[in-house]
Amino acid sequence: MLSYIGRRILQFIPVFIGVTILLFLVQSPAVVPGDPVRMIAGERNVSDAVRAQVTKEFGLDKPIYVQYYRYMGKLFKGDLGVSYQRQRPVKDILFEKFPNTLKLALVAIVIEAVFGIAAGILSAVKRYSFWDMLVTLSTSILVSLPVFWLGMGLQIMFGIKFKEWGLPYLPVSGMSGDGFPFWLHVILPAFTLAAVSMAYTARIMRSQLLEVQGQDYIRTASAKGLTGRQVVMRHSMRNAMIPVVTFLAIDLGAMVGGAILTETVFNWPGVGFTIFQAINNLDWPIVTGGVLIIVVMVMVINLMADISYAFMDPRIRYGNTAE
Amino acid sequence: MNDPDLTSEAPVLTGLAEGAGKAPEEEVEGAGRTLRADAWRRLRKNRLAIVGMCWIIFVILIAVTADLWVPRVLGDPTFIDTSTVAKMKLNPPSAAHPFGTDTLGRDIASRVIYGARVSLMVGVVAVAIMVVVGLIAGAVAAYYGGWWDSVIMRSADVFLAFPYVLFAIILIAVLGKGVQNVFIAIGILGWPSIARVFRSSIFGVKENEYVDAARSMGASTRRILLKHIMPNSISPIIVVATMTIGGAILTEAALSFLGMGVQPPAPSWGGMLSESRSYLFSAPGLMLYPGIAIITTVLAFVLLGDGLRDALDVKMKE
Repeated sequence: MLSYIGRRILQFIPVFIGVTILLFLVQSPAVVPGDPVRMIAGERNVSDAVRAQVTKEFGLDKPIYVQYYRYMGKLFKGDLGVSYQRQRPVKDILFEKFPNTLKLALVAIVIEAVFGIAAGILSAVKRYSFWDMLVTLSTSILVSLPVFWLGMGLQIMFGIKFKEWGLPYLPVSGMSGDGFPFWLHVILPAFTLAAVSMAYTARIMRSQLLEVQGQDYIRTASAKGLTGRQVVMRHSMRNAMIPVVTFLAIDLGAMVGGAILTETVFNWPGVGFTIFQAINNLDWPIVTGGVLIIVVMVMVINLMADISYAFMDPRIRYGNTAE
Repeated sequence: MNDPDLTSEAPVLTGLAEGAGKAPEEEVEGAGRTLRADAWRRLRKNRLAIVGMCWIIFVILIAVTADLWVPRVLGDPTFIDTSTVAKMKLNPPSAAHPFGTDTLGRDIASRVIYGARVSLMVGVVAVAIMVVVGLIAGAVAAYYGGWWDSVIMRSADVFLAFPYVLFAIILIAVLGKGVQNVFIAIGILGWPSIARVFRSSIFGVKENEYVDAARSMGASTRRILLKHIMPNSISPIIVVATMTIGGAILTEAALSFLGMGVQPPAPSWGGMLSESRSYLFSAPGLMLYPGIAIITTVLAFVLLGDGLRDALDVKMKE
């Protein structure tokens, strides 16, 4: 077990270094088009004195590996640079926005788990029925749907049309205000964010249940006289849930990072929306800092998911994982 | 999109079983039974996959022939007639404009059709880049193994660690906006999944006796890879590539929606949706047609991919 965890953590290190190299290159003046000094100084005409000072201060005259080394040094001190536009440490800006993203992701993951698992169980238990077809068809459509289109559709339906029709309607923008409490604000964005993964959850749940259904111990359970419900709840579910839980864990990471479209459509003041705005303003430190935090978080969550997987399923920790 | 194994139900299982049952007699009868013909026969039995394929062919035909008839019949997709724009804008669907007109008086149907060109181009070019890079990386990793394998697979991990859309946005921010860079970004980002699939399928094929036989007869590494291993491990690549086209179209739409892809006034589905966002309250219908175009086309590729997976009998369990 320990050696498995050790191996996984060792694999984590080169990937982490690779990620930082990529992000370093992306924000590095050697790669980004334009005059780096002018970008940092933020003026059209830079005097020679300022140019020399900026070059020295940011180490732009040093070889690229020295610059990378300095970048990593700062990184380990938690220094992500200063936003060009807002003149504040990137770390502070992102830490302000992060709880909003996390709230949205947590609500979304609950929606995803509840609806996805329920739909998966329904379609596996009633295989080839009308319900199974319905679930299969709607999951296929959901995975083909642009997230932002779904978000806009929900905004039109529940925000605009419902209001026109005199029905209770939902807020379509931001996470507070308009006289609505937070939990009403979060409904539409959370559903939008959860939609695609909900389809995947349902499919994994279905195929896992069907696979488990064919195992000997299920036949034994039926043979000793358990009812269908008891077999599903006590025997099938326990084993079928393992991959589903892992998927949900990994997906939480992806949601924290991939919410840029949903947050943009709903003007949700989270990390994704902030990164989107920063890209439009060419505010590189926010972009690379935000992405770095997200990537590292996704990696840590994946690592934890892998390790918990090994706890739940002994075959993984004893099996040959070299392949 | 990188989870093709999740769709492992097999709606054409009956077709497969029938095919297997019939095989011997047909073989006795017959000339010209190849693996490919077999796969095609199985694919034909999968109605959803055939519907998907027909839709794709239909979209391709319309997009390719657009220049011949669309500007004349429906109107130019980008030209704005300033003298009539006040009267022509946001017209409801009519005989002359079957999907109506947009806020600048342009025909929506015409713009959707020209948008299809962008989406299909992204699907083909980006996925082609992805497949070429992925095949080379996967082949090198699997065949040479050792150090090569570690370096290539660890860099695949690096790429896969990034949230997909976010990474595409950063790449485009560095490369500059525009459709060529969308091709490149999507192409570069997709290679690891192709490389992984190809690598593991090579591992499956490499141990076969015919590869040993070829080697003992003195065939070069290149020849073994191209003549023996490639044809026998290509099926999963076809399946993954088909499914990935749908993902590439979605990514392009997302990038254009965020303003990083195709730049207006050039029509693209994502760009049209982005424009429609400002008119969500006054003209909610604007988002309808480009959205339907994206969903149906992506769904068609997903269904065809599903069908191909079953027809080629590819095991997608990782």
